[in-house]
Amino acid sequence: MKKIVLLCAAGMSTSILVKKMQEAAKADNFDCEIAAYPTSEAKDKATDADVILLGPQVRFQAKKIAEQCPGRPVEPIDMRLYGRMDGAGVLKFAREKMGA
Amino acid sequence: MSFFTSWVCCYCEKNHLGIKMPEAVPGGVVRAFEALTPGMILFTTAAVIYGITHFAFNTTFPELIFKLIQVPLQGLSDTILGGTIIASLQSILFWAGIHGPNVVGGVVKPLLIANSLDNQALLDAGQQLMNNPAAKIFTVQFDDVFYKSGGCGLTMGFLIASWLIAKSDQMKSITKLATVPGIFNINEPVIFGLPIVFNPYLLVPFILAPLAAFYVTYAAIAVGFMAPFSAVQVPWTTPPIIAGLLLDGWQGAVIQIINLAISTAIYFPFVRMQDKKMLEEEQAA
Repeated sequence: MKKIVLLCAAGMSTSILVKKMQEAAKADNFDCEIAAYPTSEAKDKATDADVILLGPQVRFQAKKIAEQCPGRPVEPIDMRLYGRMDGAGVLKFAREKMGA
Repeated sequence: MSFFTSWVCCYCEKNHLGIKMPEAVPGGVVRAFEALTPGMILFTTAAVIYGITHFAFNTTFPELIFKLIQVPLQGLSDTILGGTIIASLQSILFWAGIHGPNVVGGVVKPLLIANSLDNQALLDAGQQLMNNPAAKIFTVQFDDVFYKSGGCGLTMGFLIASWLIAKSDQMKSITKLATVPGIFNINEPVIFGLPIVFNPYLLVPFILAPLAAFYVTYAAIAVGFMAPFSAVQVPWTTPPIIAGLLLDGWQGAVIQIINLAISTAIYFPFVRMQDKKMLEEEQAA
């Protein structure tokens, strides 16, 4: 089962997005595990993710996160998709990056 | 200290300063010896620093840093100028799409927490904080709660203004989406969804509203309407008015209501401009 991890400053705004993505995944019958964490927990929680998505406001930490989670794709979420909490749109983006 | 340490190690490696080993010695052993030279330099430096601070100044290195750097910085953080910079910088960064409070907080939060702990020490010593010239005004609770209601940029004012006058579909849909998170001071939906990022219509209120709230709150504490904060904190996600009530009684709640009103007034004309533009676009389409 694919694991999608979302990271932002406190894990708050991304947790709203997680719910929307889970609804979209269910509607699509796509089995996956989606979770949100603060960037400070990346090295504990995201090292086994199939894709790591960053809130655009923390995209400047992409390099650091990539170093903490080697071999995992790290991608900032598009600003508009994120702002509108477009669960389906972000899920589509995640699946493209995972190749699923 | 860490800068110096890494610089020494790089310098020694680049300039091959060290004990040279014959070719036949295995790599691991060579590397252990390579580390010796920078190691010795660092130890000697540390010993010298310790010696100087101890014997000449009768203190320790961390204490010296504290006295020379942290205390003046902390003093600056409690001034109107310091607060102005801290408040506006968070907004400016977020307007550029970077998490302002995170970046600024990284540097400033320890100072603001220290300010609140200073106040707690006064309380513990039996003094009261209200009207106490020794009490620090700009503390972590001030920053967390009093000029970021709805989120950085005091966007609760944006939301209220929008609820009052929004006509365009875009504005209305974003406002509906962002209201519930906004009550908990999470505003990424507004910042990235409207968007506020790189949006010239909203740059001015995004900076002015929290600044105005900063000055109002600062004045409220300085004149003795509201007590300075002790070590008691609430999470930054605590809804406005409730947070003020918890931190500083009815005065805290009143100041938050005033700040919300001011923020709404500041955002009003800009929300109307933005809404008008969106409405025109929708009608043209």
